[in-house]
Amino acid sequence: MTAGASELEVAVDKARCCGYGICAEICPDVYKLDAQGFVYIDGPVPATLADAAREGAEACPEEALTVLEA
Amino acid sequence: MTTMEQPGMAEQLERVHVGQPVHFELVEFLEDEAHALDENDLFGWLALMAPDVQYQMPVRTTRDRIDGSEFSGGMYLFDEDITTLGIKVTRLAATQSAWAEKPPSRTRRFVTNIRVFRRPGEMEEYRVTSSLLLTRNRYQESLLEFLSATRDDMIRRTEEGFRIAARTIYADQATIGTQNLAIFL
Amino acid sequence: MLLERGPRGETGPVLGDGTPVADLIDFENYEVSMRVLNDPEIHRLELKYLFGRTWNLLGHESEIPEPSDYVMRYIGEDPVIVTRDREGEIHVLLNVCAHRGMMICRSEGGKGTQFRCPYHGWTFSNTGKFLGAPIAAQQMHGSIRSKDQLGLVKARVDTFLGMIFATWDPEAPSLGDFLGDIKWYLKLMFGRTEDGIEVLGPPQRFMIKANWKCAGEQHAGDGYHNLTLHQSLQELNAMSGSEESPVAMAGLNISANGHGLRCIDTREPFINALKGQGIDHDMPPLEKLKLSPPPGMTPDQVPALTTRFNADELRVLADFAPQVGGLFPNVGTFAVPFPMPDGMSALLSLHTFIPRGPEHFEFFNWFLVEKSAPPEMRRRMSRTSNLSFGISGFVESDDADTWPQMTQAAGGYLGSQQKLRYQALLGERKPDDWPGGGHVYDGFGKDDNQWNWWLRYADFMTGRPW
Repeated sequence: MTAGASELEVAVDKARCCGYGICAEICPDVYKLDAQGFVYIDGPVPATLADAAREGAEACPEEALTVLEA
Repeated sequence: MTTMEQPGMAEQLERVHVGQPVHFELVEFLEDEAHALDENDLFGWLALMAPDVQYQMPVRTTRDRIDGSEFSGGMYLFDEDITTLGIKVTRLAATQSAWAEKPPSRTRRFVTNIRVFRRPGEMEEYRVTSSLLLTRNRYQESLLEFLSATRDDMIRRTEEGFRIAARTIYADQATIGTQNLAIFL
Repeated sequence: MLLERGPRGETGPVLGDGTPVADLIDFENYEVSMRVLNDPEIHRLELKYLFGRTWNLLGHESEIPEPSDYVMRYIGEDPVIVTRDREGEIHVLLNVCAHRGMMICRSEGGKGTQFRCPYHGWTFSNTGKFLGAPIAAQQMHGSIRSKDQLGLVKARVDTFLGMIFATWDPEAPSLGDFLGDIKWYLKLMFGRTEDGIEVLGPPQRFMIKANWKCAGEQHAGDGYHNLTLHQSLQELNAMSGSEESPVAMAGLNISANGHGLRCIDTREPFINALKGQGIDHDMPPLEKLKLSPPPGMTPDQVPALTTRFNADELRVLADFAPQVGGLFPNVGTFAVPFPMPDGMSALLSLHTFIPRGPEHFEFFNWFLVEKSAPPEMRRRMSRTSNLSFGISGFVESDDADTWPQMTQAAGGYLGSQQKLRYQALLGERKPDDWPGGGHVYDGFGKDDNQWNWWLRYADFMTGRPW
């Protein structure tokens, strides 16, 4: 699942996500947690949130989030 | 600043198999070398080194696989040439004050798993890897100390016989379990 | 005048048989009970009173040069992760998971912005912050402790000349105050160039079946053992002296806050390779240093010394350079000019002695070079260092065979009642023109430094370190 048109896309590897929630803590506007606490991204990553989104992706202990630079 | 190197096995070198005469010769050479050291014939051992010998034992550090080799490319437990080996041997064999080995350690070197590869080039040189299990005992200590390692050697045939032109010793421990290396591996 | 010390009226802790710890040191007769070298109770007390409070040397900055580098080391018997964060700050974190006590980091070094415990997945940043646990929705850290309370325990960190120190004690003075007057001398050993020094690689590590204090107190300033234990330096003709002027015994012992150094008098060369080199007693220091550069430096680096050192310091560097010493409690420091058959060479080294129970310690040995050292000099220094010091060095391999025997002797019934004696005391003598601080003992190296080391030990062990 990838984000839409913006300078940043983030790929989510759902199989890897363990529900740490660290990404959502760092960048709650980009990383949402479903009822079980697993991550999903429901829209494009605005340019203003690019830095926080990168930080959130890097913080994942399972490396479930990959930033794909435009 | 530190580079890590892999103690790789010889990939493209021509294997010298068990049964080929030179394989037997090199096994005999390594057994004679171990015998010289176990018998404390240090000058006899030194004579088996080539004048351009490089004798090294890199420090080993526990690492995760993703962080590369456990062996350091810059820091050593032995880092010797013929001069420094000569000084160490002279001290142990010919001075009165080599207290570390006075009285001498009782050692036994078990040299096994000998694999021989022919190196390309004009000189007759072989890459020889071997496993070393060394037992060490001093004073009235009832327990044996162990040191386990693999040696990666370059052995050259000369008119006087085989000579060790290079040895790299890769220990099976990151923290060495004996109080010094006043003995050779 | 000797450093005066008497019992301060405090016994400190009392051992199981009723012996106050303060009684282990005989302040009137300058003797120490050998019991300290082989007693499990005293060992446990040291972990609390000494290693739990002092500044501990963990490594060198050049081992973790980049953000997210880390190494794993020890304060006493506690494993700690030494990290460099994104901003370049160094953190020292207790390597014990806040959840169920697992050791989080089991590698001795590498790169990582986070540490994830393999047991339940609790994850901590390299600054020690608790980031979270799997299935955050279940809040597996519960609600009794907030996430802020569940970070890794952090030590106070500071560095000096690239050496990384840490303490658990919030009341400890600054590292600078802890080191005190010894800093001036350490700069002459390890702070000589703009770029500074760096390690050749990770430290050698090897186990010695001895109490760590055998090595600790020796490094505070035992020069005397050079004559006998390291007699091979003379037998191999590397050095020579005489009855009136024994090898390397002339100079000044420096002692400050329990740390010790020997400034060796090199006006009259005892290293044979330096004799007859035209190094004149009365030469200006800079000229002398060009002919015989400080260990690890090349002659063309010598002029730049004037930008870092004043005239007094240069004089000390040329004639009485500190060469060997130790920091309280468990550190060895070396900047030694060393002869090779083809000319002079040198070694720079740091040691730490990490206790592993009362009868074992792990010897950590770093070899260093100036960062600006050319490749050929690095190789030469590595060979010189390994020839003489460390696990296979012909000088230090002899020390490794004395300490276990002292420890074993101290395990006996009568042995434990015998004494370590420090009764050959020079007394403080400071030349009028001596620019350095600390307690200065000018003359034949005697027991003064080592006695001061034990006084510092007594301070810590009776609960009055600061």
